[in-house]
Amino acid sequence: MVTLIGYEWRKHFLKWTIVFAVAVFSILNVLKIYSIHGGNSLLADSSWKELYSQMYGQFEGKITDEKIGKLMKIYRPLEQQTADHTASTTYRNSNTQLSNVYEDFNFYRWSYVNPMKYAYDYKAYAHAVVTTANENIIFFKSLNNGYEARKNAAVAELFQGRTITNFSYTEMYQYYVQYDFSSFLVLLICLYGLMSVFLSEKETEMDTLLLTTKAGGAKTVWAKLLASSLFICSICLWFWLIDFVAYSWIYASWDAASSPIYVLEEYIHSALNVSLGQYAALSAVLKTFGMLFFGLAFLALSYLFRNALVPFIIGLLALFGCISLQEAYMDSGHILVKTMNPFVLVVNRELFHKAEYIPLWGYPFPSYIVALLFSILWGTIFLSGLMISVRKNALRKGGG
Amino acid sequence: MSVWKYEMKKMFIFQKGLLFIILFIILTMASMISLDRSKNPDIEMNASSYSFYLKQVQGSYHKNTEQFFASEADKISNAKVALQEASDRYYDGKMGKDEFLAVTGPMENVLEHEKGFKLIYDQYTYIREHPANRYFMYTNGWDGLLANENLDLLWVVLLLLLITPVFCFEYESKMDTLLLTVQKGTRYHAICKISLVFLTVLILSLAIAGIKYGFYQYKYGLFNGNYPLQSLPYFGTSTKESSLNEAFMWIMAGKLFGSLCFAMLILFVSVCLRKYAITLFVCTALILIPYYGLRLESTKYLLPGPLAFMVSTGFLRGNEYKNNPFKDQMELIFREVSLMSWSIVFVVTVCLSIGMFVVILIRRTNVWNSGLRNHGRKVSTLTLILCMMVTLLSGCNSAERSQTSDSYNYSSKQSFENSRYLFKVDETDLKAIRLVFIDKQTGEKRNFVRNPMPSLTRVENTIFGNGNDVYYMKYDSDKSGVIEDVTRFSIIEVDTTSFKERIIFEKKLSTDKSMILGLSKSNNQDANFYLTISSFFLDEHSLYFIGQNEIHRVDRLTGKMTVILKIPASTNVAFDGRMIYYVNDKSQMVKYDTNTDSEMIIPDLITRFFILTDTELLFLNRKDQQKMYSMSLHDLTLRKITGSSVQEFHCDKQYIYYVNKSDLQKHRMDINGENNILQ
Repeated sequence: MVTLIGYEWRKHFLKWTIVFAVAVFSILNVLKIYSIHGGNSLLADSSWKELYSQMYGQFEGKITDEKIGKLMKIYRPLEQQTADHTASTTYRNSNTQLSNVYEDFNFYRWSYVNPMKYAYDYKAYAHAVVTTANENIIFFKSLNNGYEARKNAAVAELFQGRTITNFSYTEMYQYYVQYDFSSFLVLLICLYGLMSVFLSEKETEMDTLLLTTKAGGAKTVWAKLLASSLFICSICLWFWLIDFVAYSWIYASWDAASSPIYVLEEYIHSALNVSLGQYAALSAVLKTFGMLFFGLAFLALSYLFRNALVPFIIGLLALFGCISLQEAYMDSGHILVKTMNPFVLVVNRELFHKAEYIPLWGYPFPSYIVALLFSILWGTIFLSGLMISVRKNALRKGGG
Repeated sequence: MSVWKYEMKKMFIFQKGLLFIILFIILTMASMISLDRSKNPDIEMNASSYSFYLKQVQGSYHKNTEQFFASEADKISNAKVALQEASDRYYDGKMGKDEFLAVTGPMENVLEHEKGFKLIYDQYTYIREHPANRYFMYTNGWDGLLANENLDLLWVVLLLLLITPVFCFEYESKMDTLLLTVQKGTRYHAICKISLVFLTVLILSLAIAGIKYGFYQYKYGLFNGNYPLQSLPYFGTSTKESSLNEAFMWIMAGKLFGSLCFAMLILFVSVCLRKYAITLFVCTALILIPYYGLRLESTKYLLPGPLAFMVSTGFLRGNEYKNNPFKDQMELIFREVSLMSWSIVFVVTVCLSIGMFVVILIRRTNVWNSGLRNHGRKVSTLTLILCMMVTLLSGCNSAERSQTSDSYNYSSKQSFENSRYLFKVDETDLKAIRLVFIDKQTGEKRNFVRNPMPSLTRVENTIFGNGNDVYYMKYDSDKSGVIEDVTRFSIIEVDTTSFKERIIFEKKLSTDKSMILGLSKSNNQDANFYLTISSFFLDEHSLYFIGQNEIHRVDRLTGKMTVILKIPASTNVAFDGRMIYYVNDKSQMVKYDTNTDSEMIIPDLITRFFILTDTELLFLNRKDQQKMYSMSLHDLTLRKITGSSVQEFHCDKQYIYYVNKSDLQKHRMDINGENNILQ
């Protein structure tokens, strides 16, 4: 079987076109990340970057009253000077660090004060969430609403003890968790790479011949499926690695990996209690899982046709359909509709940035579990469809 | 000729080209009909009053235009004051009915067009920035036709479906080598194929341009095509001189050129790579990756190739800037494409296309290679899968229910009472104003919204109730960037027996949230309306939103929004499940039937303030010195409730509370008007 998988892998995926596409797409991916940094990062401006790194040593690490006091000592006077918009805008005044006092104020406000204030306040906020959730448990129990009581118990447990103790530079993760372009590239490569897996034998009419061999039929199909999965996983691994390395390198940031995920404001209600580093890994795994589903769908699609034209186009349209559905329901409260779409696994911040639950048999299930279950369900349907059609063909063609 | 005929037959019949074209046209038309939303829906919703003003100012900006707007604004505000005065005089008996009607008639005509004036005034503020090339005109039609830069994905797909098999089919069936041995099988054959593809693309492009033009002409009307392009705000900063008609021709010519280049690209790649999958992959990647991958929208117009021309609208746009809040600076988001850059891109693209053409001819004389056989496609499977996709994309509907309704009053939008609880806005702590409910038995006060995670959600202080179901509205924000951005508006239904929440309406508001591909966009104008809603009520089919001096109805099934009523600024609005009651500018009570969309003025009921209860209308009678009266909803009989004039009043299920006008004392009486006691 292993030889068969190796053979299928070499036959379908060790092509110069795929290697070339992966190389070109990797370069495009890095360029895209670079352009995101240039367009969004607060530190894209060299003067801001310089001042930030000068100050970072003083404020990084454990948030203490002393550090807050030191920061406020710089920030308060700037706030007062700019409050009535009458301060001088003279370029490079003697007592300014950047071009003028307003830029100084903006710099400290966005780079240090706001993130540090958020981190400092988070403990109290999480405590308030736990208190409210505990009150809700009693309230819903009194109304015999078991599901809501259980959901609030889950929320209380999730937020129990949450706190942000350290201040670190998190901008890299802020944009890394929202980055989807590489997924689009991977999907395009998969769409192309997987088209030939079943079609190459049909095109050369080897499929009938294959059925007469010992390893033909179901065994070959399994080998093809496993080789394809291996291909998808390796392509994903390569691109997710490039994403992470490129982000870390372009943002020159490595030290936020141990901060909790809720240090990002978008993840204030995060469904997980993991660190940013762990989240990056988990998100990559889930993305790969989503890609495997789409890969299976492309394979099943290609099996229905005799050449690549129509399955490629249908695959592309289906992909756009899933993406547009995902975009339409982004941040939506209709959680079930959101989780039914397999593309949500690829854009999995949608599942993790907020603790959302779906009632199943009266129990609250986190949305990411339900999304996984749905994908497994869709995957099983595709797989069984594929296997059933393979067997039927094998018998018919084998007899004939 | 026979080669032509054969190639046509192969392309349209054997390779199902005709079927794909028909499917494409059906899908394009269906998506235009179902998805097209006017750029400025307010204009459509107030068409008559807008066109009343547009007729007077249409065309270029004159020196009198400014004066016209100033005088019209005066006229409207004067008419408002004068109408109020005339009503007062009439109801005080100082003016006869005939005189009243004669005086108020012209004023009503002026006020009827107030919303239209606001809309045209918005246009005026845009035009006066640069009056030389910005004209007053109706923009929705031209905006729909020209003001977007979306790549038509269906068109890309159709071109791939039609053109890829042109050469690939022969490579697959090994016919290419055989073909090269016959007299007309080499260059002549290739030129025939290319000409046929170009002719098909030309005809289809013209047909699609015609269909689009026809659609917008029919739906909105494409008037004033000779006006400058800059009359549309989308092209406001453009430095190119062109009329709208010319712009349309240029854009269509650009799209045609882009499509022809794309066709050439597909042919070229298919001749070079010979396989379906790789041809499709390369062509798709060359179009889609720059389209979605480039950060600055205008960069794609500097790339030679078909993409820039396929979305050629951008060649006519001007520089655009956006404020960067971190640095308080304007940042460029679109850089105008200069004529020089355009010429270079055009020439390079033409050269590339000619190069590709030459390569195709060369390869069709020299290439010998193996191919594969094709047994045709399964049309039924294709249709089935397309149907499945359409079903997938069709979205979800909210469930319906029917029951008798409690009455709603705008004046009491912050409270509602049912048999068990009293719901209200608690303003005791001004820093944390919240919705609460009070158990009527125990008197215990609790939070109404039970969400334990309140950050990034803003609950509005307005509620609507109907029996056990109580509704509130909320805005959800997103903080994926540094700035918080409102992304969604929702109406939540709370079943107060179990406090189970259900979303009954949701609207996406954000237009610039980070998207994967940006396929699902929301309308800015729509979003602005949802941000100004002050209250709402609903029935089983529709939601009614009270915005600025208007009531909008939104269909719960389709989400379609219409303006049903224009109401004076300070009137109460009431709803009993079917009828909407409000007071018009002349202090008359108007009843609007939401089933038949008809209005009726209730005779002899003159008031400025009223409250609807389950059985009657309580109001301060303008004709009887503001004494409180009630009118039965069944037989419309009037009954005086207080003997003295009333300053203001409110009521709950049991009591009426009022302030006496003469001594400003607070009183309380039973809902039927008995047991009047001083509080």
